[in-house]
Amino acid sequence: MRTTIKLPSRSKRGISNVIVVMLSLVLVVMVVVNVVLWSYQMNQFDWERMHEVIAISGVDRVNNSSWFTSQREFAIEGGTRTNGTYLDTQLIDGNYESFQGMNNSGISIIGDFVVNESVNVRGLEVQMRYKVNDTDAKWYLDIYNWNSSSYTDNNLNSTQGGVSSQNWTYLAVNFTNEWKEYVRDDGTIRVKVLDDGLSVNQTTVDIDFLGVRLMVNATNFNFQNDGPLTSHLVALWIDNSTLHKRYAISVFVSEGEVTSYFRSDISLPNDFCIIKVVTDRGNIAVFSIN
Amino acid sequence: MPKLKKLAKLILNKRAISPVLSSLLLTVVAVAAMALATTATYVISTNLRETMSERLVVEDLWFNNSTGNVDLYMHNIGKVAISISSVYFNHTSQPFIPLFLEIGTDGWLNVTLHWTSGSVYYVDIVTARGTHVADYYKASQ
Repeated sequence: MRTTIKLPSRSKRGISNVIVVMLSLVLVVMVVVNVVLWSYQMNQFDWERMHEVIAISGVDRVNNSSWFTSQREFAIEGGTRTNGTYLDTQLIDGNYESFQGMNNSGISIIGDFVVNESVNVRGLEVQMRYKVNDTDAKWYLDIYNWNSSSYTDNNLNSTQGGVSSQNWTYLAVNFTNEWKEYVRDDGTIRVKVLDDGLSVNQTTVDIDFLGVRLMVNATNFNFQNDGPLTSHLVALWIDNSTLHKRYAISVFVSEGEVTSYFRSDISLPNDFCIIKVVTDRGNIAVFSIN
Repeated sequence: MPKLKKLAKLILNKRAISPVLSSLLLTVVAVAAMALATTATYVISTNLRETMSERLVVEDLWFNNSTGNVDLYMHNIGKVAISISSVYFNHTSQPFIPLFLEIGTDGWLNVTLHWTSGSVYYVDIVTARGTHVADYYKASQ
């Protein structure tokens, strides 16, 4: 009896089998990588997109910047400091800095206010909250013109000055014409507070607040994320009948949060307009304003 | 002399050629077939992957009064570059300035169309890979 044993190594079809199996594996890997994994990725992308819930909860026109107050002690041209420091003039809180006039001379103090650069600026506003022990004097705010190198009340909306009162009183002036002449390149605005010097008594003025702000045409947006994922906002649209304008932005809104977004360079049209915000997942939230 | 005879016998022996040839031929055929299959699979699956990776958003559609045309702002949010091949308004193809968007980019698609104020249009944008992005838009009054 004779038995024939075929060893695998002697099989003539072995090589081609191995090649077919190996290349089949390559094919499987290729299909898995190209189709299955990508399908998984895109499914995840679509799932996230479907669950993203972004909304514009409010849009407000902003007409003024925040207040800029003095960051160093006032220079005194006339009178003396009797109480408090410049820090007491930064907030309307009842804490104040006091100055007293000398005999035969009024009060005159100078403060520098540095404002941040901004676009869409219409003008400047200066405001003071004060009270005076002597009701005879009148009070003025003069602004330094860096072009003419002089203090002036030209271009101010009011040059009549503020009354003296023993109660807290506001004196506010603003100007829109040639306002740039009153702002130095580094953003400094120099303000002089002075009385008319006509009082025969030793006048004492208490200054609770003295600040400068820019009159702007800006916009504040509130974005609300009600979804379970953080949203990345990439575009903001302002549309009206004559213009559709896109602003590229990059704002992240965490899940469940409302984020405020201020743009000094965006001035809303006066007529009806539509505001849209676009996320990087492609979702769009819409808000309309009359 | 016996050595020469041995060599001649070895050369003239035909019995060994056919198994070698068949093995070689089988290997060549297998490699060729698998190469063909691999290439086909690569092409098909790559095309499939690219098609399913396309995501296109119409951020804004403007019935532009000043030009009398329609401007669409497209944003490619997918994972592959996109080329717009056709734009249909109410199922009618409209001429447009060709637009190609790389991944993550955006741009205006200007369509030449004399639209009517107050009308509703079904706008269908088709990419070169066949993806459709469609919606209804009302022309501003």
